Amino acid sequence: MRTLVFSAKVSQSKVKTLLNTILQMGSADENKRELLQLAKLNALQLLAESGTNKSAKLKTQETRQILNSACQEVINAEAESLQKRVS
Amino acid sequence: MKNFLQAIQLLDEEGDDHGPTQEDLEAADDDPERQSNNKQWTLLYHAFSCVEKLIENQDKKSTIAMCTELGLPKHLLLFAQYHQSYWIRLVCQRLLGHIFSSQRESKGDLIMMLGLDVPEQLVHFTYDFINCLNKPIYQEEMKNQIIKNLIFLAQAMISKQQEDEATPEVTKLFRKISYIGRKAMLDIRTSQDCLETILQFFQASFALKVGESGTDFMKLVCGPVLELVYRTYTDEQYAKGSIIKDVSLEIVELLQRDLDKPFFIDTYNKVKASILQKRLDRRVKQKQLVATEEGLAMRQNKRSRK
Repeated sequence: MRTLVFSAKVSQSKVKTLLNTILQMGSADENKRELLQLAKLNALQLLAESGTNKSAKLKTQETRQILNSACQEVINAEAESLQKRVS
Repeated sequence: MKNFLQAIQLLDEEGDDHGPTQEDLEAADDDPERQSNNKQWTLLYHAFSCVEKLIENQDKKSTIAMCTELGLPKHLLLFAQYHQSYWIRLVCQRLLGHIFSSQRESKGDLIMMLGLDVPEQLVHFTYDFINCLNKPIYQEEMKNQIIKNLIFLAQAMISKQQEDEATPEVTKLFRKISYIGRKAMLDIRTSQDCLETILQFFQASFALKVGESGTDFMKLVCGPVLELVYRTYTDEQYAKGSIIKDVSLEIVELLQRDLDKPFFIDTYNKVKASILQKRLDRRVKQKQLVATEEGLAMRQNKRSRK
């Protein structure tokens, strides 16, 4: 799975399929959950790079979904905790 | 992947090292607190990379508008100031740079793009931004990005306000930056990156303009700039031929060349007199302390340690 995620030659549709597979996977193990989130963020990065090769650029809605995913699931929570620590 | 990311981590706790050693990494595996710390910044770094790749590869303007809707610029400022990981601070500086360059290209409303309510908040945003100078800078990329972002913010601050309102704010900004530089000089081992960044920012800022000419801007900031530059210029701890010494020399020459001679000489002499007076006061205080019983006890303590 990781080989696929880190290969820049993977097509956009394959990354989307992979992303869906990752989204459907769940685990009670915290380490595995973290690894899945890492894989998801890497897949999202590959999607974010769409349009640089032969693939089409992302639709506005897709861009928004990636941003929501990165911001709401990771950045906002971290910002809140950092804000508490510094204030 | 995790091992790779751990290997490139640069935490402040590492002191003046630029990365953890193999021993540190082995120790980190046994330390649950550090392990959880690494996990947090790894995910955060990838989340920021997603945003960066979207900005670089998709429609920049609409992506940045969405980032603003999600309140990202304020988070970027927070992480750039306080996050313990160098890589997080660096990616946040780059993302702020993307927002600023997009504003410059589109001539959009900067206040709105940064998610601020009123123009006055830009001054606080800029004052907060200079806290980034308190964290280790380590690499050229970070140094250059901080300088570019600071120049942009200083220029925005000047142009957002009326000339007479902007001047005290600009002087205050430079005074704060100068103070951070003087504070950094207290530790010669860690001060180099910070001082180089500040001095190069000062040098680059002379191209900024308030009102009709650049000379007005130089006049405004000449005092705070000399407060730091006089010290770096005369401090023998910094070697001749080093960036710090060279840039200090260039700044003094630029100010001397472009400002009215009487104004420059007056400001230079005032700054010099004030620094020498402070040094004299410190020496007198030290002598008074030595003469007291407390000082005697301190000397005895020192001797017994030897």
